[in-house]
Amino acid sequence: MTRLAGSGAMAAPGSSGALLAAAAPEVLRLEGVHAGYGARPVLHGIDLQLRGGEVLGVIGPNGAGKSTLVHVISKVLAVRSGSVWVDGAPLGSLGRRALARRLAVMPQAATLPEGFLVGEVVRMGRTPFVRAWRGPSAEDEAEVERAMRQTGVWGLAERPVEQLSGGERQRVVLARALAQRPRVLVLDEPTSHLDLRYQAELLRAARQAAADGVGVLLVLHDLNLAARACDRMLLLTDGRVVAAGTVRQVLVRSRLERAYRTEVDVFDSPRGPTVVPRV
Amino acid sequence: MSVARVATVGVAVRRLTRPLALSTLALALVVVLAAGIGSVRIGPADVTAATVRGIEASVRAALGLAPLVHVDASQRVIDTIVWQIRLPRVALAALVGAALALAGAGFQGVFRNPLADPYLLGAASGAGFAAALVMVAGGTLGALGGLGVSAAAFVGATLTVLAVVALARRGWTLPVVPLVLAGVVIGSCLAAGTSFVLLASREQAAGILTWLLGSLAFASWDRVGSLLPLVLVAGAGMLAAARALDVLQLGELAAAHLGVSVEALKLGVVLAGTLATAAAVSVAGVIGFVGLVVPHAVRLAFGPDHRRLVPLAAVWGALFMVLADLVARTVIAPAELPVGVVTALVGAPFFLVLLRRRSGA
Repeated sequence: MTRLAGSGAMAAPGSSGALLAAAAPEVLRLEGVHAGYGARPVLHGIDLQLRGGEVLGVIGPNGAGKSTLVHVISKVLAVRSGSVWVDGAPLGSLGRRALARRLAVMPQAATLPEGFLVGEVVRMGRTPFVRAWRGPSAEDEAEVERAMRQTGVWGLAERPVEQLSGGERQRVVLARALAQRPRVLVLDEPTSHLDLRYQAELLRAARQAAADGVGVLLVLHDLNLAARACDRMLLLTDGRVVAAGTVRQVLVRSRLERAYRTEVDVFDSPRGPTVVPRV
Repeated sequence: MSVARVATVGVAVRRLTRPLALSTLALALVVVLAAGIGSVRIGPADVTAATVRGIEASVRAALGLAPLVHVDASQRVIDTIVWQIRLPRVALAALVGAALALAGAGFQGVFRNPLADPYLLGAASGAGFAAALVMVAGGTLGALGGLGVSAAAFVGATLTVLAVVALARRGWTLPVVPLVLAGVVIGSCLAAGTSFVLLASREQAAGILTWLLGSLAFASWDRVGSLLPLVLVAGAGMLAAARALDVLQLGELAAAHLGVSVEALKLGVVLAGTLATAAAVSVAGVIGFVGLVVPHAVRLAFGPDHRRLVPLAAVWGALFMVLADLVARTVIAPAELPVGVVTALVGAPFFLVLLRRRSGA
């Protein structure tokens, strides 16, 4: 397990991540994916590749199809046409449990049920591994402990979830996802409603998961946070990928103004571009 | 067992064995107490001895052996009172209470709502309407406490819930809000039907009303025997679903992300809960409040995880029901109160105290 150096700054993306990613196996692949709800098509031919060890940011305006993309990848919404592979296996061939052993989702605005203890909630992450009528195995318990230590919630194990702060709650939800020992980790707006310190803490934990070899798909509204946490980015607009590449390739003023339909300024800095809308 | 191994790792684990053992012991004490109280008081030792002799006699009869002859006439009277009259009733009360509490725990879990109860999907109104119809039809089939009424109630409850499920389903999914709405609507229709039958049939009205309010007066070992396998099956189903029900409390989407087949889980729990409810209603009529209060109280006392909640709710449902029936048959003896009235009268204040203590703490 690689420890990230320095607590003040987030580990610089791209440096070690990209090198690792080049050799690492592909853990998620989408080809020409179309999907939608009822008569309303949302995604129009999405292509995407994610390797173990890298953090891929998915950005785009409201209604661009970011959440729909998460639903498709997690098999909550059926693909109309096109293909999805998770960890080398076609999505259609994976049952719910089999998928949950390969892919974990940290959902947007996750609810934690009142009365449960933190340890119990994280242990739920082992659901796809635990067999009916059996308790969790020693391996399950080891994974739970690992995930809790990695996210810094080990000390909260006996705490009822309703006593947690917002930042602690999100770390518990992340610990639950990490306890699945996934190859692909999908984070859907993990930093919303968190203050700066917790935003940084959470994204640092996501980068650490990537450093451990997990492919991280990070859906974020906040372009500046995304710029600092991602190795590569995907700009989604109206259900299409309009830009893909490194952070500096995607966060370009003309692209962003077209996608978001508003004027923006992009300032470059050593830690990556900063995007500010004109008001 | 796995529980012991888990505890050594040190992550929060709430144990089941001790609370379940203590609760079962409490249930056993209440059963002995309840079997001893009535027009003739019988001490705990005599109740236990009579129970042992009763079991012994049943086993001998089952094996085709000649019954043991008791010389003591007073002992034979005690045996008859305990084994033939009181224990079947106490056992039936326990089973009905366990069944309703199981169903309540399952429904509250699957609907993620502490106000859900076993009758939410129309089981009570379906059973009531069918039973009322059969009673009006009269004859031996419609005799109060007869087999015809039981069968009608069971079928009525089951068919109603199946109709509600069929109405609410969207393809292969079972969305919760339409399900509850369909249950309320169909339940209201059938309740109106029952009211009409009540008004239209003056002579049988009292009998129907007695049945509707719930009674354990027609208990027998046969009924206990017919109820037991149904409750065991429903209980096993609920236990098998317990871990998935825990995960479902995270929300349907999050549960699906964790590999739970949410639609199968919902349908399975609804069916298991309906089986338990229909079985209970068929032998005891519509007894309210147990299925709402007991799982809720157990959750407040022992925590929300269903692997503990399901078995503990069954035991405490049994215990609560035995006590409620004891009150129902003794408080205005030799007359009886409808046991449904007692469960509501006792259950409501008890529930309020629990809620207040909870919010005060």
